[in-house]
Amino acid sequence: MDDGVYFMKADLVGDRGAEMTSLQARQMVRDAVDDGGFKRKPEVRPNCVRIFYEKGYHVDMPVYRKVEENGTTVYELASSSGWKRSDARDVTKWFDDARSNSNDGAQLRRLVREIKKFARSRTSWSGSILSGFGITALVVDCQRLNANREDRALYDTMKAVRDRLNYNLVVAHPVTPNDFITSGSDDAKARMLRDKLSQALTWLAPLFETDCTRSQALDCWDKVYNTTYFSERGEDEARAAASYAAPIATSAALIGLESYAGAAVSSSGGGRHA
Amino acid sequence: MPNVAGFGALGFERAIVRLEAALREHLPAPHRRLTTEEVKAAYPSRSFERGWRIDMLCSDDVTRQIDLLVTRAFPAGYPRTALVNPPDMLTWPHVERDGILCLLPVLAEVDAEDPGQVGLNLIGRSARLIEELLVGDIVERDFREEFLTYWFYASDVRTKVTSLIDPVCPSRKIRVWRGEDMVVAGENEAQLNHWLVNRFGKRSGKKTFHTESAAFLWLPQPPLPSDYPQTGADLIALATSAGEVDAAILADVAGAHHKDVLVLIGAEGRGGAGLVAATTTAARKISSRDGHVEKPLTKGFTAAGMPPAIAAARVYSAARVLKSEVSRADAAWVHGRGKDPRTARLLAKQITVIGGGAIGSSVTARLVRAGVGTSHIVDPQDFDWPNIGRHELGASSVGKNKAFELAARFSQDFPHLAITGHNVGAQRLIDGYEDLLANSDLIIATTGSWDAEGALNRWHVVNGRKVPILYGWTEKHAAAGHAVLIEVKGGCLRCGMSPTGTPTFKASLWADGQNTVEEPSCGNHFTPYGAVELGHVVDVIAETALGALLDPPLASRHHIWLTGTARLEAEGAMWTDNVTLLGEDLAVGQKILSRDWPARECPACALAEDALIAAE
Repeated sequence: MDDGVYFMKADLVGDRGAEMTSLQARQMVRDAVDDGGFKRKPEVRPNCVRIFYEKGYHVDMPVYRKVEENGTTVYELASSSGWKRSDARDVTKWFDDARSNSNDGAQLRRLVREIKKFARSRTSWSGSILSGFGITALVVDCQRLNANREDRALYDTMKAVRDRLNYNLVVAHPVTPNDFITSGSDDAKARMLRDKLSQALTWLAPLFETDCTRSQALDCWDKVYNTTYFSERGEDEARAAASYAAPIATSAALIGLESYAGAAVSSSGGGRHA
Repeated sequence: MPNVAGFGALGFERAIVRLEAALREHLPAPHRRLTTEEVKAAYPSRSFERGWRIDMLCSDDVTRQIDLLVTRAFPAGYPRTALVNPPDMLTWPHVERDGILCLLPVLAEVDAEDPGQVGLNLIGRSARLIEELLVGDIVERDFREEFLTYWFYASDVRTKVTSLIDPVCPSRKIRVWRGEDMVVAGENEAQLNHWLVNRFGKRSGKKTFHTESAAFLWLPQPPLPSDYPQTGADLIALATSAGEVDAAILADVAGAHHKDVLVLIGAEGRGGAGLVAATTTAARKISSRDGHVEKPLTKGFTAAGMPPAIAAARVYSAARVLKSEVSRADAAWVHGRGKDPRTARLLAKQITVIGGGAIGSSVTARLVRAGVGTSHIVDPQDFDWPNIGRHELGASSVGKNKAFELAARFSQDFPHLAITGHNVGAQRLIDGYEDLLANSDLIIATTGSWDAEGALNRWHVVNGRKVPILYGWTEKHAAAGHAVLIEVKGGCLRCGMSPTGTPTFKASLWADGQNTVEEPSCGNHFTPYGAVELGHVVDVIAETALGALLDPPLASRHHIWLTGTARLEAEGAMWTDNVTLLGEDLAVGQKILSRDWPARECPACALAEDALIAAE
């Protein structure tokens, strides 16, 4: 959860004394944070100002105004559809409450991170898949905890989210009444998350086969996360447990590898010439 | 990391994991993963990214280490292996200066989808190579058989000598031309000058290419690295090892010119003869600080008064020699790398190509590449912009005579061949160039003009058809191509033509009956087709030409290339009965048909009878 920038409504006045639009407010913040030192300039996004850091990550800075209404204070977000009732702190409170209400708040937080990580595992999905906030809302709704098995909890939660999206692609905003994270009843980003989760569940199918080895299981998770992290870990474990026949290999033993792996190298080539 | 070879950063990491798993599973003893710093430090001139070190107990009870190394492109390409702490360079063959082992020939391929197996295989090959080197049987053998490679490792200059000589015994005097950035050696003045004029054009005014004597030393067997000459004295010793006569040739060249000597050294390696070069440096001028220039070679003598024996002794002294590689540019090497048995025969052949248009230029290009020694190209027309799309020439030839330009282009690209252009028409050729025609081994006519080819045919039959003539043309849209080879027996060209030059055997029938398109000018017709479609037609004509030169048929033959039937029908045409009656399956098309070109009582053949009567 990122911090926001808060202004008194009365202070947000444009050049001619008119009330600042939500876009002007975001542009003003964008100009303020841009000290000229960024390689990629900060950008105005639909619901925030995004600041890019060289290491590849970014920080979203939502812009709010404080409005006094009948003696109470409400907060409005500078969004692409104008000033909208919203407050990041409400969202933070919502997630804190969700963790408190969960049987295992720590695992819930991890599940959110794990599924977000999956959604960001391919650069080609970037911008086409449901936002992190949408994923958080879905995971809170569909959490399937398992105190002993993180992998099981993750698989079950992925499946529950996928099933929920199969049933309905609409994701409501958890805090702002009558507001939605998705747009319409067939939101393309939610649909993509659903389809990619379905694909991942297919990749994970070998986990449930009786003869599935640890190495195969690690490969499954590598495929889901588009990484070598799991198999590298497995390789490190295997290396630590390896018991070698000899402290040093003889040349004769190594020469035998040539014929053992003979099919992998063709000295005479493929017979295609150009 | 860039997406190298389609695998990308993740593919690289996955391949590494699989390789490490394979090493762990199949190596009988532990191996060590090298740090990036170790890899970079051990192989600074290479772009290796990861490495693993394997200890190996060899048959001599010495433990040696093999490194397995990969670049960022892995698993594309293949891993390299190295012998850690290798012996000095050129102690063992197949071991480079930094220990990298040369295991695979250039054409080898590896399974990039199974990087673990590839790594294991190469470790096995490395172990085997090291053991073979320890036994020693291959050391001298491979140094000799692959001496070009090891001479390259020992070379002092990167500029290669270009050689036109025939690399065969015996040792002999040759000639050399030294240009600013090129040194060319030839058998004699005439060959060298011919090549240089073709390659670089004639020199302005009375200038000529200055050539000098050089030596060719043929060795009974390739030298070992320990024999490689470091000084002039080593060079004369190497020549003496071949024979006193060989050494005398080197001495002669040095004694005659009082200059440094280029010595080409030839020997029979694996796969044929190889050439390397060494140049003496004793005659290099020395400039002192006071501007005085010393000529150490002639010191104490006038140029004319220097005894040859002293000149030779000074040239082949303790002064260094510079070793360099040789690029063979002799005809036998250019055309088939010395392995094509047809090359010598083709080099002795002479062709005359009448018509340097789209077909003629490309047929000539193929035959020149095939190694036909002498070519005459005949065409009276200038090259123009519309020709560019399907011709061997390009924009730089626009406005210039086609025959001259083709001859100039091919001569420059194939300077060892003899290629001449003639800016004349077919009629003038028949009337004034009979010797050219009569001395040809094959005449190729690709004019598409009955006026020209009818006249050529009459000359042919009257002169007894001693020289075969190949006529080539294409039908509309290059839907079919024809190669008609007229030999002594069988029909003459007219036997298969109407009085106005329409072939009696046509392959394609066009609905509109129109075979040509007009330009908006008086009488200018052409048929539209592209270089790609024309390529098939050119090929069938060129192949027929090659057959006529190397293995001529007994009687006149006709080869027809047919385009794809689908393409023909899409253009609104169909095959004629001529083709369908040949009984071929034309469902697909794209085939070559062959038939006799039969004789009949034609007016041209009657001329031959008249000529015989007149001769009596």
